[in-house]
Formats: sequence, structure tokens, C-alpha cells
Amino acid sequence: MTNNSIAIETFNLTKNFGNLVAVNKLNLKIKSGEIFGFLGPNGAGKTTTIKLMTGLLKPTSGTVKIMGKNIQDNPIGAKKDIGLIPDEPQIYEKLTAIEFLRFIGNLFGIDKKEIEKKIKELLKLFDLTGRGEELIQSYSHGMKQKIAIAGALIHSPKVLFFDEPTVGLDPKSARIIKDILKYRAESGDCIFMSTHILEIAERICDRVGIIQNGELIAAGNMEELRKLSMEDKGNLEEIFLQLTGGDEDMDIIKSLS
Amino acid sequence: MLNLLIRNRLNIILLGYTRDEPKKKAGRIIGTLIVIIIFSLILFYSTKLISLISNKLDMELANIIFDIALDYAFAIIFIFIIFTGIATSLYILYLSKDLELLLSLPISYRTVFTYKYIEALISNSHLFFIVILPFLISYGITSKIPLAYYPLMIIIFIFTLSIPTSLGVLIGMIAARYVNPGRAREMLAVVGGLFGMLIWLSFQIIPRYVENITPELKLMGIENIKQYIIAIFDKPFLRFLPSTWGSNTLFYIHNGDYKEFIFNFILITVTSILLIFLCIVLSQRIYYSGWSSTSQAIARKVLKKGKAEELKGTGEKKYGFSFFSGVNYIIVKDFKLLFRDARRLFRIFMPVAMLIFLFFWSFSSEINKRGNINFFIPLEILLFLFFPLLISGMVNVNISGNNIGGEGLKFWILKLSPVHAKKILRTKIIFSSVLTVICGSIIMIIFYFVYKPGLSYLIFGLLLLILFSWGDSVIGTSVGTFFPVFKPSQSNKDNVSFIGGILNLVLFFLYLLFFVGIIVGMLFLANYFSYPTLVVFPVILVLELIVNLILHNVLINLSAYRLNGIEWKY
Repeated sequence: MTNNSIAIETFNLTKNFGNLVAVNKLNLKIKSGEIFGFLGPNGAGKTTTIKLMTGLLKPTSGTVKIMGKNIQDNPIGAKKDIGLIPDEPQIYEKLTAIEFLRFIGNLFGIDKKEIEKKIKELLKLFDLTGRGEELIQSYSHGMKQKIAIAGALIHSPKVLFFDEPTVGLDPKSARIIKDILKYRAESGDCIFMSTHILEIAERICDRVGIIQNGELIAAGNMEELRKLSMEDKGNLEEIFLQLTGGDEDMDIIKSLS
Repeated sequence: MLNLLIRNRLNIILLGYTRDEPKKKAGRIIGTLIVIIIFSLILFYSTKLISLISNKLDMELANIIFDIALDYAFAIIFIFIIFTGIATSLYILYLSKDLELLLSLPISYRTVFTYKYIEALISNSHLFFIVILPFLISYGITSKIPLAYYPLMIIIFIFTLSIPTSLGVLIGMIAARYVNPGRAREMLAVVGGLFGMLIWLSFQIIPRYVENITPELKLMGIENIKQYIIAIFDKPFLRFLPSTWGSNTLFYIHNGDYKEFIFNFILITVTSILLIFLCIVLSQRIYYSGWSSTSQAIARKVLKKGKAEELKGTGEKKYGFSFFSGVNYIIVKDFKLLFRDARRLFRIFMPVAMLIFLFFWSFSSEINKRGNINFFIPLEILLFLFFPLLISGMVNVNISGNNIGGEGLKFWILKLSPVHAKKILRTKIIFSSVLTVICGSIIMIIFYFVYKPGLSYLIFGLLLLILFSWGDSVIGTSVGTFFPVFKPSQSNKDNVSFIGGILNLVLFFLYLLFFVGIIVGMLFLANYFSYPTLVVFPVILVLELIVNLILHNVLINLSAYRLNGIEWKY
């Protein structure tokens, strides 16, 4: 369910690393309540785009606005509305899950009672109720990922960035993530998700953007993408390969087998 | 296969010099050049020193000095490696992330663990190859002994280093049998540290004890330097330390006493090989054969689960509000992380323990003789004020310099949070100041009982310590913000770049000089205008406060600008 307010807006967003143009003049407008899938081959610039949008990287040129707030000019205001789930759960392993979530809650200035309530709910949601007092270092990769996700959700952000949201998760947790994405979008939050799992993107995203070599080569809903790729009935995988040139590798694959 | 694994590792190191980012490449090249310079300087000056001792002193006396110097150098290495080695060895042989990959390859497990053992040995001892090896080379050069000495010396040196490493591995592995390995690392670092400190203490206390109960030794010493040196330094327990077998091997080959050389050489070789073999077999069994008692881990989980269930029914305190709750969540987090990471704790506090002992070793017996020296105020009082600042400042360099980089790969959490950079920096400064003040206060109280300067000096000293810790934390945190190094593990590594580390140290000394300069300058003025000393104290405190306020405001603004500019490329 989308509404008319723009949650994420980029204007000519560019990031160079030396001579390498990681993101090139990216222009995007994503509305509140929308789930936007961001696809691209490895090294295309997906994670860099997310880092630019969340203020972790400084753009070489261009701007990013989160809920109308420029992240360069008003980082504190913009960050209050952001939740990020990185692909690798780099979190404080020598804190317990509860301590970590409490810390994040405090960082975002949430009321103490509200924090405790949220912690309880999130641990229950991710099936970690009895494990909250254990140090995160004793958790498996999937459990750490769940805690990272819980950390991103604790302050109920209006814009959620997911970098490969289901990597390392068991099927039940992956399902929970998908449900969370849908539910939050229905509640009016904006979801920006980078993923390699095209089935997920096809099933839950309202719109999809495809980036290659730092440039946005296509954006739109499934129908619009089909038109762009001239694949009348193709699924997202076929459209993606058509647009990014993945089909060209078929000869090599055949020669290997 | 072992050859292949080692070649691969060497290749990785080489690629760091050729293919890494230009900045990192330059850092590595500069670092290597510095190591070469340090090695060459030690070689040059130790050759000069050994020649001087050999030429100027009586032959027998020179020999006694060399014997004792070798014994002590090797003993210090032994102690150091034991108390740093347990944690490192456990980490490399049990918890390192590449073990799973290596064990999945078609390589025998023994090869994998031999390779990991070599990695642990190098990781534990590479520093001594830079610092001690040039001494041993110059020891050979000055006496012009046959070339066979050099390869033999390297072999003996490696054997000597392998024994404490092996002991560290064995203790670590045995503990991993009974303790959850994730926790064993921390626990063993504590045990290792205490063990190391115990040996260090025995070095400090026993000579003094001997000196006190047998005053005639001292008299004898004045008449006969050789006997004096032997009485002070030649400890019977040293002979039982395996490190002494290594130093004796080198000493006897140098002196041509081949009977003793062979005896000591066999002793160290056999011990070293046996321990290495035992380590490899044991680590293989612990890791691969599942000898580690998993039931322990299960029991711990059950216990924790039980505790969590128990807490469920206790209303408000369900998640255990801590003492710090509501103070500042970033500081609370930093304290929790610090006190749960024994390796980091030891890294910070061990130098303090050693510096204190060093102080007592060098100065304590001389205290009474300095009663008449006056430097505007009695020297003891100046020392009472100065030494805690110096030592706590050394600790602070290690803490505050790592304040930002120490966040490691988790820094993105703070970077993403809607907290102003100045606030983050302020909490970091408070964190390192509090730690430094705690540390400095302990030292100051110990020194108070040694010098007995009076309560007013104690209060003055503590106030100075608070101001100094604050100022030094501001400097350290700022340098750390400008030169951070973000690494996956934050416990045992420097989280500030090489240049940042040097700059931090230089600025610390400059600040210390300036800080003490204000004290001495004001005391000089008080003396000149004949004001009572106690009247000057508030003036000194106000001046130091003004300096700190200026430093704080200037540096925190610059650092906040820098912190906002840090890009998260990890």
C-alpha cells in the first residue's frame, strides 16, 4: 500500500572510488509504503548505494533525501527514520542479545519501557526468548542475523534498508522476514531491499530497480520491466538476465559441462 | 602439503606488499623499513656494547654479565610468551575461522595442526626475532666464533620460543576440554596474566628479600663486584626455567664448554620437540575428534535458560537493569565490552603493573636517601605527583587512542545512529578518562603509602589526575578519530594507524611536559614571591582546567568534523 509521500529520493547520486565509478548519477524516487527491490550482479554497486543512502558513505556528488531530509545536511534527523540490516551481521558479540537491543533502543532515544516491551516482542518473534541473556558470540550466523534485524526494527523506522535480508536464515525466519516486509509496507513504511534471490523480489516487491556497473539500467514494476527487456511473459530471472547480459555466459557454462 | 600451506601464507603476505591498496601498501613498506632500522640499530649498538664490556672489563666479569643477561632476556621472553601465548594459541589452534576450511581440504589433520602450530609460534614470538636476535648475532660477531654458531643459534632460539608457546597451547587446550572455548580464551588470558605476574613478582621480591635478610652480601658486593652481581641476579629457580637451558646452550657454545653445551642442547631440543608433538596431537584431538566436552556447553545453556526463565516472573527487573543504567548507554556498552574481554583488559593494564614494579625495583630502596633534594617542593612529592600521571597517561594512550577504531567493524552501528558526533566523542572521552582515573588513583594511593606526602597532596594529586586524564583522553580520542583502523577483532590489536600511534605518544609526552611545566612553573613563582605552596594549588588547578577546556573545545570540534567524514567502506 503506497501513499504519495516520497520516502527515499536520490538526485544524480554518484560515488567514485579513485577511478572506479561505483554509482553513477542514480536518480530514484521511492514512496512510503512501497517495497523496492534493488537487483544487480556482484559488484554492480548495490551495497554502495545502500551505504550512500544511509549516510555510511559520502557521495562524490548528488543528494539523498530520507523522508524529505537531506542526509548530508541533516544526518541526525534523517537517521532517526532509518533502519539498516547489513548483509554481514557485524554486531557487538560480547554483549548479550538483550543488552545489544537495549543499546540500540537507547541510541535511537526510545522510552525505556517501550524498549523492554519491544525487546520481549522481537525475541519472541525470532524464537530467541530463552537465549536473550547469552552473549551474541555464542550464537550461530543465522541467530546473529536475527538479532541484527531485531536491532533495525526496534525503533520502528519509516525507511528500512535490507542488504540481502534472508542470507543465513532458516526457512521459518526467512518467512518471518518476508511477512515483516509486507506488513511494514502495508503500515506505510518504505522498504529498500537488495537481493540476489529473484523469486523473493518478484513475489514481494512493488517495484524493482536493476543496477549494473553503477548505473540504473531499469526500474519499474514487473510489467514495465517486461516491456523494457522485450520479454513478454518472462519471469524476473529472465528479465534480469536479458537486461544484464547473463545469457551470454551460456556458451561458457556449456563448455564447462 | 605443509610446504604448500606455508607458501600460500607467504604469498598472502607478499601480496599485501604488491597488490593491496596504495595506502596500506605504503604502510606495510614503511613498517618493514622501520623494523629493518630497529633491527640494524639494535645490532649496531649491541655489538658496540658487547665489545665494550668484553674489552674494558675483566674476562670473568664480562662472562658473568653475558651469562646473566642471556638468562634474563630468555626468561623475560618465556614469561611474556606464556602470558600472551595462551590466548593467542587457543585462538589460532581452536577458534580461527580458516580451520574449518583447512580441515575440509584433502590434507591430513596433522599437517593442518602443524601449520597452525607454526602460525601460533610465529604470532607469539615474531617480536623477539626483531629485538633479541640482533643481540645474539652481535654476541657471535664480537667473539668471532665459527659460522656454525649462527644457524645453531637460530635453531636454539626457535626451540626456546617454542616451549612457552607449547605450554600456552597445552594449558589452553586442556582448558578447552572443560570450558566453553568461547569463554576459555578470556579466562585463560586472566590465568596466564596472573601466572606471568606471579613470575614477575618473584623476580622483584626475591632479590630484595635476599638483600634484606643477608646484609653481609651487600657488604661483600661492594668489595667484590662479581659476587655482588651473582648474589643479586643469579637465582637458583632460574636454572629450572626452560628458557635458561636455551640461554646456557648459547653461553656454553660461545665459551667452548661443549659438554655443558651438549647437555643443555639435548635438554631444550627434546623438551621442545616433545611439547610440539604433544600440542599438535592434543589440538587435533580437541578440535577434530570432539574431545572438547560439549556437555559443558549444553550445561551452560541449560543454566542460562533456567536463569532466563527464573527472571521472567520478576516484573520490572526482567532483563537485569545494571548499575549504570540511565547514565550513558555508550559508556555502559564500552565498559561491558571491556570487562568481558580479558585480552584487551590485560593489554591495557599489564603495562601499569609492570611499570609499578619497575618503579619499586629502581627507586624504592633509594627513597630515604633523597630526603634533602628539593625542587621547589620536596622531590618525593614531585615524584608522588608525577609518576601516577606518567603511568596512567601511558595507559590512557592505549585506551583513548583506540576509542573510535576500537569499535571495529561494528562502527557502522554508531555511524548509522542519530547521535551527534560530538556526543559520541564526549562519551568516549569520559570512558577513557574514568578508566585512567581509576588506574591512576590506585597508583597514586600506592605511592601515597610509600612517600607519605600528606592528605592535602593526595587530594591535590587526585584532582590533577582527573584533569590530566581528561586532557590526555581528549588528545588520544582525537588522534584515534583522525587515524582509526577498523579491524574485525578489537581486543588484541591496535585500532589506530602506525602514524596515529606515534603521534598519540608524542602528543601525550608533550601534554605531560606542558601539564607538569605548569605545576613546576607555578611552584617556582610561589617560591620566588615567597607564597605558601598550598596557596598555589588552586591556581595550578584553575590553569590546568583552562588549558583542558581550550583543548577540549578545539579538538572535539575538529574530531567531530572528521568523525562525520569517516566513510564506512567495510
